[in-house]
Amino acid sequence: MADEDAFSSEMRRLLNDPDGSDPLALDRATAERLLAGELGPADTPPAYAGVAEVLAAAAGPPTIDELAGAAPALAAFRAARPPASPRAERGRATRTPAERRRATRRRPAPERPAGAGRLRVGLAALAVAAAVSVGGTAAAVTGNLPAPVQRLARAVLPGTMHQAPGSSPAPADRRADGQAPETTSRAPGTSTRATGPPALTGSAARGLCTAWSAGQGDTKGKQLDSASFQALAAAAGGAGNIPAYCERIAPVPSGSGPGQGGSGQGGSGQGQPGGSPRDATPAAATLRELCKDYLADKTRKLDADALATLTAVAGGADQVPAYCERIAG
Amino acid sequence: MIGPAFPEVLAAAVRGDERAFARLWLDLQPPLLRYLRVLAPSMAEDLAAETWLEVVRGLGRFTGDELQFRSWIFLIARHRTIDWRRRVARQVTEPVPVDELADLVAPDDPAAAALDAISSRSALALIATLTQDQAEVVTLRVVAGLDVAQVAEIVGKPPGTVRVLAHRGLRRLAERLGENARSGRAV
Repeated sequence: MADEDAFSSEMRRLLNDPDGSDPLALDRATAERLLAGELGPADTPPAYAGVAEVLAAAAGPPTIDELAGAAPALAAFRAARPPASPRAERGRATRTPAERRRATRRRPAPERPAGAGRLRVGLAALAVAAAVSVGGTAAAVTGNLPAPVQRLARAVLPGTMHQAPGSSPAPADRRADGQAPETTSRAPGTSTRATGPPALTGSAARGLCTAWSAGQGDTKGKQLDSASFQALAAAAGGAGNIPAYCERIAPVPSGSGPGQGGSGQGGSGQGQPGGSPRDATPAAATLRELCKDYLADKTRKLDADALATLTAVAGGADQVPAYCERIAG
Repeated sequence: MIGPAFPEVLAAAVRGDERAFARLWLDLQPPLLRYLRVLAPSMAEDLAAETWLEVVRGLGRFTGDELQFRSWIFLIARHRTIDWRRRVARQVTEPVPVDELADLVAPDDPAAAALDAISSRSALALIATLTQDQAEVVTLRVVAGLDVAQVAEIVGKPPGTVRVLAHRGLRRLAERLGENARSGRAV
């Protein structure tokens, strides 16, 4: 097929428009830049301003629901990765009766699969990775956590949680066709949409602000001196601008009404426990309790959920000790 | 895009580092889901999960740079979608077209819509109203961030055809937006 000819004739049709009767004329170079996201508002033909907006939105920052399918992906990864790790129990298909008894006694919830603890450790790692690669938004951190952690995280970062939409994780063993990977062998491309650090979404920013302002006086912001804090500082245009930024997007209500501010977030009530938000510091209290447990007996006593939350809030597993010393030591 | 750290991240993921794999997943899952939502709205999550399963299996054998990695993943997603369509075509009882229509016209979460002028979801729903070929090419260019040559390889069409499809898609989008503006409806 002479597709270049087809393109030329299309171009001719669009460009041979001497009297300007075609308001949607679009030359090839402009179309290319529009698709690559390189066209500034000033260069965009007026008839394509809306298109540019739609394309920018289509390539916009990740949303919470898009990061909800992490568990099956990580489970598949864990199942498939090389068995070189010293953890002997991973590949084991059978357990001794005593182990099985212990497992069922420890976890009454029947739907919890064996190895769920390990999965949650993985999710903690994922939460940290989210903090790094998605820009440290509370949305990214909390959006990946399983339900118990979500509850805890909701206490820690009120206001950030959307109800996760019904995602349907595929069973890990659905496909077994072992298809060889299709590798590609073209020259490295040159043009990609420049993706800067994803912006904080409205709810994430409000959640971070709420968490930031949950600590009063000299503890203000102490819950957030991790990747989340950096994300907030970046969104505010600098750490010094956080108070003004947060006052603007998540003003602390002065005692009446459940409203969190004028930006119209529907159903935000779930994030705020009853009582005046000004005195309510469930986040700080919860974290302090968790940290006390953690410092008392390091990781052994702490539930994996709690550990995952601490890891996410502290900004990494290696940050947890220092973080806990600071807020509860 | 992960950028200069990509080779390191990929190598760590191949060694079994969950954090590295999580980073790849976080980078690619959103555009992957968006692409699949345009191709098969009712099955996007499942197809994305199937895609990752295959990525995990083939990770150790992959060689290439970050853009080639992206291309590889989107190619797998496309194959999974085609397989799914074949399965559906065999089981004619499955009410797929209805589901897909419902998905397309489903209004956005009003709260989210209030937060962002145009959400990615409503933008994708609009793109999905193009012909299938146009919508796919526009999505791969814009959402996956791939260039003409890469898209051409994924969809199995000559680069010139890919350009024409994208161009017609943009023009059609402009027409649609113009119609909406004239009739006073929001996008």
